[in-house]
Amino acid sequence: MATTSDKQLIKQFLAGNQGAFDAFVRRHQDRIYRLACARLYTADDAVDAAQEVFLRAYKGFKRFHFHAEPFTWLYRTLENVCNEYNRRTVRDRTLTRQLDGVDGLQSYAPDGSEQIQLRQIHQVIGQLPKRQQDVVLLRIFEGMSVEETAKTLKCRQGTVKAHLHKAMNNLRGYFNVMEIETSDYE
Amino acid sequence: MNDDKDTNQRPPLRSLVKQYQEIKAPLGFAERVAAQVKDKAASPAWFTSPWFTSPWLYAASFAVVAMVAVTVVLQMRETEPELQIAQPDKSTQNQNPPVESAPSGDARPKPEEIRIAKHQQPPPPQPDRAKQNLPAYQPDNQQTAGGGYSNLAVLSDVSDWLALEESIAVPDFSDLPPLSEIDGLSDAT
Repeated sequence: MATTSDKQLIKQFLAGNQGAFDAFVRRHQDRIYRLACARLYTADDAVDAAQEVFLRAYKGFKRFHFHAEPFTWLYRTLENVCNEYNRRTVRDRTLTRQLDGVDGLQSYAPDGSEQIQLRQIHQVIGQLPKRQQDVVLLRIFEGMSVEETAKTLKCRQGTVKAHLHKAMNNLRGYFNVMEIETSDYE
Repeated sequence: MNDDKDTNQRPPLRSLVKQYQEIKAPLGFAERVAAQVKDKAASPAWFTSPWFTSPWLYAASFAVVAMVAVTVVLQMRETEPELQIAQPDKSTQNQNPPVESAPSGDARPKPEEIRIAKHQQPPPPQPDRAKQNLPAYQPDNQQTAGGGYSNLAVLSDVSDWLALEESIAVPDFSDLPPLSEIDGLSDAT
């Protein structure tokens, strides 16, 4: 089953094989969860968002036309879900701040080691514009190839390389200059 | 100095990437998704269908309600002017009060009352009636003050005089061309 491609799994799921969808979830759950962690404030929100992504996939795969890779579809759905969560979180933080008179961020303050890692990742990602964030997350943090990144972001490989180069230049101001070897990723 | 210290506290990118890649989904994540999927599948399909949750459905419902409301208002506005036209004016109403007075709660007269009020209005004066009221011709007064006889002397009755008046039809010269366009007439002048 592990060698079955994503498209074949979805075809089996659409044919009525529920186990194919479970296998699809197990294959992508870690990556979707990590990407959700990189975009959301807390790990709890990331779990909920990742579940929401797969629920939407369960309903939306009936309209899937197999033009793109299923992970591309998942990534787009994840972006939408994370944007909704962030809007809601900002609204709740503003409301909490207004009600309590304190910074609402305290209620979302990370305390575990995983949350500290997330905060560091958020600081790195927050240095970059949106498109460069996507490229850095997929190419550097997820370890995807330039081709896979381009397919996921629905752009050309040259565009991915250009965004990556700009992102590396921006991150050099944050990390030690000598630490980042651009040739490793570009 | 502070910047250098801060930079030293920052984890290198590679270690950060390694830590990131060690993050795994919580245990039982796939089972929770499967359970939620089953719950979704158990719920009625129409409730979760995109049509039911689509904002277009609500927009269409609002449009239908608005159309019905506009239609009702237009129909009410169409019926109102008819009543106002059919309502007799105050002067006529004073001279010819309606047979049945309308109930105090409803200011508009009923259609039957309007018809009755219309019939009770005085008819316009007829020109023939004025002609018929002319004084009858007296044959004794045939001789005028000048001593001669007028042409009316041959008419013995008013009805004859009216018949003569009707027989003398005034021709309509409006269709004739102007004098300048009639051949020969301009030469003669």
